[in-house]
Amino acid sequence: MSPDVQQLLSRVAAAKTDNNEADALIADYMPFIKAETARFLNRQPEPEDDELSIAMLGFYEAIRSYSRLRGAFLKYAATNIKHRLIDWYRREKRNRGQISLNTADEDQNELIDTVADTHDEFEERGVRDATRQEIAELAAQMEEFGVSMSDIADNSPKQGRTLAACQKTIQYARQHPDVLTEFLRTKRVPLAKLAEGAGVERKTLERHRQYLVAVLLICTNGYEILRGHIMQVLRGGSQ
Amino acid sequence: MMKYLVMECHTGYAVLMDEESRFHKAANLHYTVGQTVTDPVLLTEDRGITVRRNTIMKIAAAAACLLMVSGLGIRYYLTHRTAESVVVVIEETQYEMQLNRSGDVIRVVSSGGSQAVLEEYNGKPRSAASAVNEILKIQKEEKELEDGDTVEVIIKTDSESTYETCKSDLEQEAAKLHLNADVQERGRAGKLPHETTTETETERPVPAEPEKPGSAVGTVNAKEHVKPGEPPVTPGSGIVNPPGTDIAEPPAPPAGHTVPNPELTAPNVPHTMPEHPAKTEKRITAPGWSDRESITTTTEAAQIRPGGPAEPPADPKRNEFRPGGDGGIVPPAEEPRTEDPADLLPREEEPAPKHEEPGQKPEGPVWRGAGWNQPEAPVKPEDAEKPAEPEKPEEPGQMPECPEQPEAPAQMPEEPEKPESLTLPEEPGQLPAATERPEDLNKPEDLNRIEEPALFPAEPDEVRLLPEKAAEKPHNFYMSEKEPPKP
Repeated sequence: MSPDVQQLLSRVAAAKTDNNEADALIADYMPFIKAETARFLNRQPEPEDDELSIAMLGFYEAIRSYSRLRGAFLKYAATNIKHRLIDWYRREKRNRGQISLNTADEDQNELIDTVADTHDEFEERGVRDATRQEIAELAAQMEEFGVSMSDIADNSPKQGRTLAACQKTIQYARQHPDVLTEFLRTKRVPLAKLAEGAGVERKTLERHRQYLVAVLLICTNGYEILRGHIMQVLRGGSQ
Repeated sequence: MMKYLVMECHTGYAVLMDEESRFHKAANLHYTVGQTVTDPVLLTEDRGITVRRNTIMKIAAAAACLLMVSGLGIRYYLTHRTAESVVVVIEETQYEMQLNRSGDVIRVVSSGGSQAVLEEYNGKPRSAASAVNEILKIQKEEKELEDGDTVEVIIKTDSESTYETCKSDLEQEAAKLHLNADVQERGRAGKLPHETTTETETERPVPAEPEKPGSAVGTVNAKEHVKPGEPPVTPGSGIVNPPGTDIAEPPAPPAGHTVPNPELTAPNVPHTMPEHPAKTEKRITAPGWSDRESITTTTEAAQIRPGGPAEPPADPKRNEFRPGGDGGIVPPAEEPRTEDPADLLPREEEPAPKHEEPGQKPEGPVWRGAGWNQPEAPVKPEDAEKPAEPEKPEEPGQMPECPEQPEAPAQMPEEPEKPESLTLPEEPGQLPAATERPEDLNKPEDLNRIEEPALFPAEPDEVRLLPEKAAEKPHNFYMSEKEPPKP
């Protein structure tokens, strides 16, 4: 095995657990990703093309799911990118018959100018900035707990009954502010108290501890926009 | 439509939070943090789980296919390649056809002769009727058969329907060729003729195929030929072979000899071919595999039995199959006849060469006092058989002579009281009190005979009497004159 391949494999193994290393690896192999995208599109991809983003997602997915039993990493990544692009292509087929709002007519007037705009862009921009700020604060507070957004995405419950158990726990925590106070003070999730109070298995809560950290932080003061986004959850389940 | 809040953006992906507070990784389609999207390209779950699941499913599917194929293969083998019945065509050459469950011939074995028939069968299943038809045709072409000849066929099968079907087909095929078919059944897991011989086993020829459950071995249908003027041998006669009446080289008598089963001895009568000038019925035999024993049996039985079975004439063709094949017919040795009426009784010869299964134990000594399996013979309390006595020189095949039978009445002697010492010897080594024995039995040589174990109460003649007790009355262990102990 050549040193380059060996180094690549070591970087891939590191990128599995480290998000920064994964970003670095994707950045280093961007030419490879562009080449695979061009092979699919039969043209050079533009930076604003969605296909390039899909290809990068495919490369990241290959990093996470790669094992030596699958053979060479680059070949495996190329196959994964191709599959992703094919899925994206099939998905976008339903939008084929639609035209862009930026299509210009004979008088060089774009179609979007003729459509009434009911959105308040200024307001939306303000909300977006506030949301961004809350998210930044949340990320900073989560870092104190040793949790990142990527970790939460990996740790988030996938099954419905697991999600229901976690939501039940959050409801219990909201109804008992002392639990939240203890949580903020100790920088640790009181799993035993939550499991006993919510009537949920502690093992389930331990399995999704990082997720609980994020959601419990959202439930504390200062995250109204985020709380509003998940209000359905905070109200006790889907309605 | 669910809304997703963009929480974090990376080079290759973005972290979104949906309205159910789930966090997802998705493609970063130029998102900005805080943006709300509705149709993201979410990153699928861990493909490792999917790969393992797919691998397990593939293995399970392959195993299921393998089981299915194996089951079909086994079923096909059991149906088409396993012999369930056998049809044996008896002619100059014996053809054994093994049939599968469908009635097709899967294998033909010949004891010799024409190979043309066998060449036809190279694994292609054919019906028994067509196979027999071809065999008979070839035999006619080779001048082995002529119009009007009778062909003997033995069908061995456990299925009555199979037998009936085969029988009707064979008879039809034979009729087409102007031949007569004598179809016999040796079914219901019964034994074929050569398996039921009562004669001592000589050098038995190895059959074409060993006998297996579900299959059968072609055997010789030894049919008795009635000697003119003599009654035929009837089954159940308990025919035994007298000594010195063998044709081939019979083996030494086994350690234990048994009373031949009368039901099994009858079919072993040799099927000889008399040189009959008339051709009204040409009985074709195949004196091959196990004829010698049956021939011997029938011949000897015919000799010793007063008005007994007819002695079949010697068949020159039989010489072909004798070991050594010196070509000469060994006439049955005449048994030296004595004036002893006991000699009229059928002697106990070596048991007929039964088709013993491997591991089958030879039958042990059989008490003959009251005539086990000899209902017609007069009861002789002194008629006792001893195990093989190596001391006595015997002719090959000759059974040990029975002790001289006194002129005792046919009825059982009165049963004396059973002495206690017979069951519980008072002193170790002390013989039970012997009963009074006839004087004829008190011979010096009797004392040298090997004592039998006390399991079976010995006849008075078997009791080893010490000289001082010779005068005692022999004890009769029978509890009743009418009820001899049953085997």
